[in-house]
Amino acid sequence: MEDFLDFTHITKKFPGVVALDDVSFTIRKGEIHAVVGENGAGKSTLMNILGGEYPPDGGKALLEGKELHIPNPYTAHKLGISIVYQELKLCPNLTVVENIFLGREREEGSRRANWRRLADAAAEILESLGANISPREMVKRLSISEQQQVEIAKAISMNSKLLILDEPTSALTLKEVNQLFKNLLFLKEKKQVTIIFISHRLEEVFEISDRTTVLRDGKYLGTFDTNSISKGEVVALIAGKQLAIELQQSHSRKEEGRKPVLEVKNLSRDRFIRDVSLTLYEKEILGIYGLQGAGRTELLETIFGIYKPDSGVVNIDGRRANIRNPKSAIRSGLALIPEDRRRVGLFLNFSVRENICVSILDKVSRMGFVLFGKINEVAQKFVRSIGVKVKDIGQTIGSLSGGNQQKVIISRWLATQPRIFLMDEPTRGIDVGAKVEIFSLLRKMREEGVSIIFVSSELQEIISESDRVIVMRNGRVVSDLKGENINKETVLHYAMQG
Amino acid sequence: MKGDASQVKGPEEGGRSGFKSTFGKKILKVLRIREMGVLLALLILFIFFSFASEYFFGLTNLLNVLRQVSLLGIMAMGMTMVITCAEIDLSVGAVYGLASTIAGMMMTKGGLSIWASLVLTLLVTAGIGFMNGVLATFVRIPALIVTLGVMNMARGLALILSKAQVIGVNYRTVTDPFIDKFLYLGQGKVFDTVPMLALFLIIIAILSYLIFNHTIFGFHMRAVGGNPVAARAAGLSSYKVKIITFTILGLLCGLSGILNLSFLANVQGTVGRGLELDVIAATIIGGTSLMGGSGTVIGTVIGVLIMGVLRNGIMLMGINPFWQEVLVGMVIIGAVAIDVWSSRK
Repeated sequence: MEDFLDFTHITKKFPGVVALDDVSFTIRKGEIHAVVGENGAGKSTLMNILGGEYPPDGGKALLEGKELHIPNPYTAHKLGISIVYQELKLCPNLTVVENIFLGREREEGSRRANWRRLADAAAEILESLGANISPREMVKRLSISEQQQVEIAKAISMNSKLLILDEPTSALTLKEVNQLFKNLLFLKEKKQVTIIFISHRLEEVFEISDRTTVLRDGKYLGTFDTNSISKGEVVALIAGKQLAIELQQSHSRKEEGRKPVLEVKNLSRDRFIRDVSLTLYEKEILGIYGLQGAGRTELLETIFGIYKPDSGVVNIDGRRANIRNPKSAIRSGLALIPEDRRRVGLFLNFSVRENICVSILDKVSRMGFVLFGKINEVAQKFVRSIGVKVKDIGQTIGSLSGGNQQKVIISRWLATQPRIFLMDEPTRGIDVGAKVEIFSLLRKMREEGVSIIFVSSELQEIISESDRVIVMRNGRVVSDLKGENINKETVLHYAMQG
Repeated sequence: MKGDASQVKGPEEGGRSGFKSTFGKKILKVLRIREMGVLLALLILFIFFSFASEYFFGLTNLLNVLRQVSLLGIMAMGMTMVITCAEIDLSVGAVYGLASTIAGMMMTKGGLSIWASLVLTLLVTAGIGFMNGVLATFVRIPALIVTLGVMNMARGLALILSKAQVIGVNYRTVTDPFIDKFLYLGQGKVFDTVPMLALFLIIIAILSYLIFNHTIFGFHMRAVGGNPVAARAAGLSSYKVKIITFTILGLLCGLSGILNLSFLANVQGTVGRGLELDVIAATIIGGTSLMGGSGTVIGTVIGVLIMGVLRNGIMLMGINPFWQEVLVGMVIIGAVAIDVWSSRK
């Protein structure tokens, strides 16, 4: 088979991370090529470069021998590249046919759109995909899998040569996955479309793909004929066993058998969390690992009362905690470092000291009047003890680095004197030095009697920092690991295929 | 980041710097305050009109300006709070008119005592504000729509109650012997110079400043408006905060309406038509962002004064009054443009 798409020395840097580090590999014409790797391996970055979301910092991509310049998504379409994102990008208030032909309503030379003809064309494509969808249906009335079929139909209608699917199966049922795979084979065989299939579900990768490329931490680890390699070998590659960079575990794990502090029993919410039960013990760091969409963030947010669970109970110190909203969660001694710092954590219109004190205003005021001296005192105390690097506690929070912003948020919650600290990706987007500081802070908090649930996408962090590890997959707890069992391979095994 | 002295030096170094640089820092600090842009605009207008009209720069006229903008200003204080919470209230002009009508009708045709009329009126307008708040939060109707509806209802009610007539409020129509004292609220002058209305504005502005900058509640308003999701996660109840601000605004509309009744000494169902837009305009000129989270009472006071000075100056210069509207429009856009431009830098 001939070469279709050549990546040569592609590099992409974001502040604090190298998302793609000198990645070179080839995609052959007409193949289904899987790209696998942990969260943050660089899969999505690669796709976004092809989609015209942003350009690479170095290297180039050749499409059928010609160098690609994709300054925007429009150009990507022009070049015959279609991307089906995990978060589908359709207009919910338009019909199926309007979505499929959006921006291409008029034929060359005609002044008006012939909707009847377009609807017929749409119906034909949808039928070829085995989709039972009326072109006149509003997209918002379709299920996720039907919307995905519309996206694929759109790609076909554009005569795309390259179709990229980002985690296409994450929201599908088994039956829908089978239909999707049938359609992908149809596109490959009948339409000669080249397909890049990005996934972290290895069974599916092995079922559908011809070749597989493995990325880790933005680095290219190799491309294999899928039927010449085993799942175990791929997991080992993803986990990095080959390179033997197992960092030494930075502290001894604590034995359990102490008093349970937080007990979650049969907690469920929608399709995000399914029947989750877990126990957090006194003075323990409990790590929760899972791939994107496993339900980790949703679990923490539900425990913290941001969302109401459909069923299940949360006990604190053996007694049922009545948590209706974050306010009552705080009163019960909980604190949450949110995953999305900008959206759920920071007040960008506030200064550093205001961000620190926003949850403890009643402690720094008298009869409703804020005592600025006390605010300064509290803020100054935390800035010093946690090591937030600021020039002035009155400066706006937006001018700090990500790591320092995170420390401000940790300060805010420490000020509420929590007994149970829920931390969702506390190290996301911050530099290595700040990470180390945050981990030593975590351990210090544990010594002082705080129990911590620590969620991270970085496997290494989970393994080296947790006393115990829970693995989630598809909204369920699939494994509760301790001691010897906390190693990369076991954790990944459960996260991907458990 | 701007390279000024106070940001480059660490806090521990601050004390060691000499007198000169401390003074320099203070100047820089003053120059950096948020309201600087609008203050400058007010100053320019001030100087311009002082030269353009011989009547402008005099104590009598300046106090007159203060009196002219007082009712607008009182409501703009509440509007600043509501907009800082990322909400809006279009019903203020109509509620102000309704308050004026209700109070007037109760003390004339109703035969109630002045005290009772005023207290009942304030209860009604605070109740309207409370209802606006509940509908915009718990019932989740956008505030723009809720208050648009309430605006129409209040307008209609004011006309129904007054039967679209003008009814005088004086010792002939009101039996309560305190009528003179009541009329003094809107028409009187302290020491024969400072209008009572201006005094009311100053008092309300100071109270608003205290609430806004020195209370937990003011802090919560800015938090809820700045990032509602984070505010909830930090344990604040945004609905409660918003409902209280709407109620405060309703109360201030009631107060303004009552003062207007005292000033005009008659009941007119049509009073306050279009006033809501002036109130919102003054607030926005003062630097309060419609996106919520950023607003200052001082900025709004300056915004109110800009509106007043502009109208007064144009009138004194004898320009066609219709040009007032055109100029006010230009100032609104210009002020916000400056604000957006300076905050981007």
